[in-house]
Amino acid sequence: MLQPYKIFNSAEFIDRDSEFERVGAFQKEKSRGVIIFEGERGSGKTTFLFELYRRLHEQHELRPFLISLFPHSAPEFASNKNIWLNSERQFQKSDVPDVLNHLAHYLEVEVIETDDRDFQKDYFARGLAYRASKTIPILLVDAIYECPDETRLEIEKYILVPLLASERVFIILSGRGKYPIWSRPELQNAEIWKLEPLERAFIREQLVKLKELGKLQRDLSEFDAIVELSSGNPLIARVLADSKKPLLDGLSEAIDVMIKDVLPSWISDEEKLEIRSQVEKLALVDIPFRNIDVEEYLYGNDPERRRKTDRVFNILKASHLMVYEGKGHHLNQSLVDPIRKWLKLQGRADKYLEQLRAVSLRLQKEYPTVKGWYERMLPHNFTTA
Amino acid sequence: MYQPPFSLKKLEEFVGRESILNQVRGWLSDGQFHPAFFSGEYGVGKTRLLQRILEVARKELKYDGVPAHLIDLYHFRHHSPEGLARAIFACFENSDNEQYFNAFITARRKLDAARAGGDSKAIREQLQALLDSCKEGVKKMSAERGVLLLFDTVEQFVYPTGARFAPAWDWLKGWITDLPRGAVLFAGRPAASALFQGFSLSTLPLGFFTPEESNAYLTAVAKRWSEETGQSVSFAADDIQKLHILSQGRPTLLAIFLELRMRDPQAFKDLSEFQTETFEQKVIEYLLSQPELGETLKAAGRTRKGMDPELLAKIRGISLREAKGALETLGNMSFVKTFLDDERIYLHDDMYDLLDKYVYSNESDVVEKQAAAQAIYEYYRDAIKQKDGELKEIFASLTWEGFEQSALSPEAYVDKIREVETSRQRLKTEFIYYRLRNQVEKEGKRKWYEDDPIHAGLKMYYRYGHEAATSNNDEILIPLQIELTNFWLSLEEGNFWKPFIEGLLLVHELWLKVATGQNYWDDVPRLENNLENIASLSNDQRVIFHALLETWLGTGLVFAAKPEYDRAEKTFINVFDNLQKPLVDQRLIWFKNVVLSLAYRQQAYLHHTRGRFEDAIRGYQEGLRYNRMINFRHEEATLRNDLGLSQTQMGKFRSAFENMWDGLHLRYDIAVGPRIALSHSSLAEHFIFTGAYEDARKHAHYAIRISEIVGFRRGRAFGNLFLAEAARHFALSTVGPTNRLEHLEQAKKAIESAVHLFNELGEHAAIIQAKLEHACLYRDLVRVETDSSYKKNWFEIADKMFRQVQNESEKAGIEYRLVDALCNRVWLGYYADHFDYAEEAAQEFGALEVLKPYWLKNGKFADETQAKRNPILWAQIGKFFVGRGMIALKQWEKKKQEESLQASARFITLGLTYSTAFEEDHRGLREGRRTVYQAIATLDSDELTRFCKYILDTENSEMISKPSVLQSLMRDHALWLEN
Repeated sequence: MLQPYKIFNSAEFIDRDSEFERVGAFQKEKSRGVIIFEGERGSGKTTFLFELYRRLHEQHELRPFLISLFPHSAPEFASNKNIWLNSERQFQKSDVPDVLNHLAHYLEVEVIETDDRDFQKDYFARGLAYRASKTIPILLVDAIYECPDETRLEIEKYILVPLLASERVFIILSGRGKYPIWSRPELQNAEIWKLEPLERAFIREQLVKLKELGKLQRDLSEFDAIVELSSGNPLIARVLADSKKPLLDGLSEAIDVMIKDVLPSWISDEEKLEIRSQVEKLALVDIPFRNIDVEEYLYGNDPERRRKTDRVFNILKASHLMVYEGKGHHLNQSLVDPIRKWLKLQGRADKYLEQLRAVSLRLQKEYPTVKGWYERMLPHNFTTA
Repeated sequence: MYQPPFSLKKLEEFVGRESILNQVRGWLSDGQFHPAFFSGEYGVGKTRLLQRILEVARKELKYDGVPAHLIDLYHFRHHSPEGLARAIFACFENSDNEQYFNAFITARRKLDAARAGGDSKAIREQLQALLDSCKEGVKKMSAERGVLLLFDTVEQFVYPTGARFAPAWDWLKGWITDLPRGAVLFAGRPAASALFQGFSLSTLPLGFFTPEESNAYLTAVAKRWSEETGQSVSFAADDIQKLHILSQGRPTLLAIFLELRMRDPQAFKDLSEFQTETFEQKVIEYLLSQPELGETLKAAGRTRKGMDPELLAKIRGISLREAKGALETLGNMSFVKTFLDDERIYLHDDMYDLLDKYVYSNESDVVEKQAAAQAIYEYYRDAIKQKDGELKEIFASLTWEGFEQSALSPEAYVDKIREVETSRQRLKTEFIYYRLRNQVEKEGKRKWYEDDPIHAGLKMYYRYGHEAATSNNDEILIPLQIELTNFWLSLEEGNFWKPFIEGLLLVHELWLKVATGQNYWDDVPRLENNLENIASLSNDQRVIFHALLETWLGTGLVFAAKPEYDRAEKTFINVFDNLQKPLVDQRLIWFKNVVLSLAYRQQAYLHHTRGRFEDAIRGYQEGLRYNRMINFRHEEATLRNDLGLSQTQMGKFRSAFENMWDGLHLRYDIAVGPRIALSHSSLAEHFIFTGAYEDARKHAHYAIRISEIVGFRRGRAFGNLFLAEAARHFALSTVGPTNRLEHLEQAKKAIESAVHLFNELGEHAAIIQAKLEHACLYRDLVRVETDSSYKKNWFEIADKMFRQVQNESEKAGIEYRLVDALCNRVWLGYYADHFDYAEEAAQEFGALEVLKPYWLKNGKFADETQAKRNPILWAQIGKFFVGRGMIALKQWEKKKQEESLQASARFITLGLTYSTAFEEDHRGLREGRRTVYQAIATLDSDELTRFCKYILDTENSEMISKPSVLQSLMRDHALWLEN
């Protein structure tokens, strides 16, 4: 069963007006093009894309088709023919022929049934080119960066490339993390638009809306706290609001979703737990850090601490939760803020701070020339509850 | 984790520089010779140009004299003439052009063998042959087929201040720009032009890419990428323009950028937000944010001497398997350099500089830098230890039973030793580079100045340099010198160590001569003069270097073909006087102790050579005392071995054995073949003294075997000398074989070999020692020979040889050999029944000036103080008296004249008294006792009674404490009869 934040309901949607306007303007100005919406984990890319699809669907001259690559559900689109959605599993490359058939029918392209995908692609492309209808095809694909390379390559080769062969077409994608390697210039030179976190007022508005729809059990009195704890991240706000647990546990659940869902698939559940706990610790480090600065903080006297820290760093980098910038590594701010809040409320911060302080003092003592640097290791203005 | 989709490394497509390429095409076709220098800043594409020229020459022109690859002077191993010659040869190895280098191949093989054996003379000769044959090979090839040589990164030949060049340049510049046909092309930064002053050579400046060239380059990359990956790529025109500006037309930076773009097309999507500097920084940050790649790159930037998986694993704390994968990923990047015969990864200079600028200079790097330095330190320490272990194993296997059935041929041993030794030398040189620059934590008590990496690095440098010099290993000395010279030049004026290093480099010049067996002592005045000219050299520093140079002067005077022992003695005394004053600067204490330890050892060796073993023992013990303060295992091994040898001579067998045995094990631990061989030969000598001939022969065989495998002539010489002596004594010992002659024949062969080798080596004291043994062999042949004509012949040879030794020892001032030779002539007379001859020798012996203090008078030495200086002479006098006593006994047997019996009793009483004064139990005395009581046992009761009376008379007249040794001996054997 899908978690509530994976179920789309247009009635719950709020804001993003400027983005809709921008898409509209783009559509009007250009005859064709590719837009990619990028955003941090939990910034609301999927919801936005679903809502965009819904709105485009209402325009007669447009022929939107949505492909959701990860399990989601949208009951209000249940009867739509122009959508590929599966609430139980991820999109696979073997789904491509099925999508192509749906797409061809929807776009009124004459296709000849064949099992050969290359032929199918050619027929599709040719059909698109000679298509009688004046409507403009718009393909929307959610989470294209995050899917496996082989799936993305298949989609690009058999769906995007034939579509891009037509004179009038728009492709709207969303993604997070590393930009994939595209072969088509249109994709390489796509418009990249950032989806920023929501302002807090909108988060609150969304919660109120959900409450009105009877979808939240939470009391209104908790909404300010949820807004504050989410740090403007809609996903955190949603998970927190949906959670039946006390707020603090709900925040923990939301942090879990933020971290564990983006970790590479080859990470075991056990290791995911460990990563979560190390990310919590790292969120308290106030300076850009190197592995060696934090290995003892993360793993104490474990003789394998350097290797383990190295591995955690690799995983965090691969998951785009951490980057190297300026003087060292930084954890994404979208993680740091909610984690610090959670630690503070949960009371675990004291233990971590004690450990971090010990490391900071040791480093200050052992490396007097950079004492000032390590004095800043502990979070500034951070007082525990 | 991380799979690079495309590698720019594979992109050899060269763009631009077409006019230069056309020019080179012409050069390789016009039958003339063209030396040229491509001058350009970092990142301008010099390497790529040379690679392209190589490709054009090989594929397009099918040029006969084409090399296999470029010669990159980044490596310091190419900075020595030999290293460069080997690199030049490697360009043509296994090609049609190899034929021009046949003489080189021979010289190289001989040089390797000489090196393995620490044969300094052969090293010097073969090194010259190698350099000459390389030069001649290139010249001949150039004349017949034309030649192309491509030198990259030549600015590395110009050392930091520009005032000094790599030693290889002195060799190369003499001939490389004057060949008949072809082209020699140098590429480097403009600073390299200093090399070419006074040369007729075209300089072609290489600028950065023009916007058109940048455009063409990007297009070519896109095309290649498309071909390789099946995906197309294009660059917007304004992107190209921005990129060109941001990269300043530097192809290297352009390539790094492109590589990032291909990995992540979104990388730097909006170029307008960058300035050149922020762009560079972002490139670095982007790379460091990559999983695996980031940390690997950060580690690689710290290891300018190259990084292999083991080192990466240590720095990152990951497993070897993980490190291999990570390094492979890094290896595919365009900014990585690899070299043909080196599995390690290097970065382009540009990347090292960028990392320095944006990562390593931050305050946030201090801890990580220190941790990496520690890991590098431990890596090199362990790697060197491992090589020591491998070599130890090889040398130890040469002493195992069943060695003869070993699967390895002697040649295979040489190759194997050479291989391990070469990599150990490389590790040591690189270790110095890091040690001088990086502070590391070491366990144990520490003093404030020991944290200074330069202090630690210089101690290590001294150890390696001294060890190489005294092991005839010139090969490591040149790269060491290059490392230190570069470090010295990089130091700021006013640095405490800067003038000190300059002084150390002067000592290094001397080490080079020591290692290659050249006369170094005549250079000492010049070096001392240069020392005076070093600006800012502190008084303490001057005193230390002066003492060190003087110590080497003294050493040279001992080892010279015409030794000057007295002058050497004075020199050592001066050294100690000069080092009396306490040092002002505590940082120099280690170096002062090192000089003191060495000076005591060399002075002790002088005393040993002259037979002053008590003095020698005291000297070695002092040397060891100072060695404890410097922890220098190589020196400790020599000190212990030599101390043991002196103690053996003094009959202190237990301590002698313990010291020599410890020395042997230390030498196995540090695994230097020639030194191990010398330890075995020392043990052989020791066992001869103790009378354990089988052990002596065993160790002599080990010494010979190891020396033969490593080609160490001095070791073979000493091994044969002691094999001869052991075989000779064994042949004549009580428990000796029945086939005495066969053993003496073996001894004869061995000693002939030893004499021959020592003559070749020119080591004066050893030649005398070997000749004496040779003479003793003939004396013993006289002793066992039954054929009178042979006997006469052997006698004449022995006599001639003893006289020769006598003369040479006298000239050299080696008193105990002179005395020994003369004493042996008395015994020769005894064995040959040539009493007049013996008497004549005895008269000469009695008149020896040197022995005047040693004669016993009223139970005391004539000059107690003097006589105690050289107790070995007591033993010689003892042997002389016993010899005379035996002659007198023989005469009595023949003529039964009572005065002969009386003389015999007197002489033997005196002889055993002298011998026992030296040591109560040693091989000579034991043999002497046996000879005596066997002879006395033939007397009847009446005769014995008289003999005993004469002994008592002698005890009384000479005031010898009673019972005398002879009386005790006779009582012990139930031969004492008294009225």
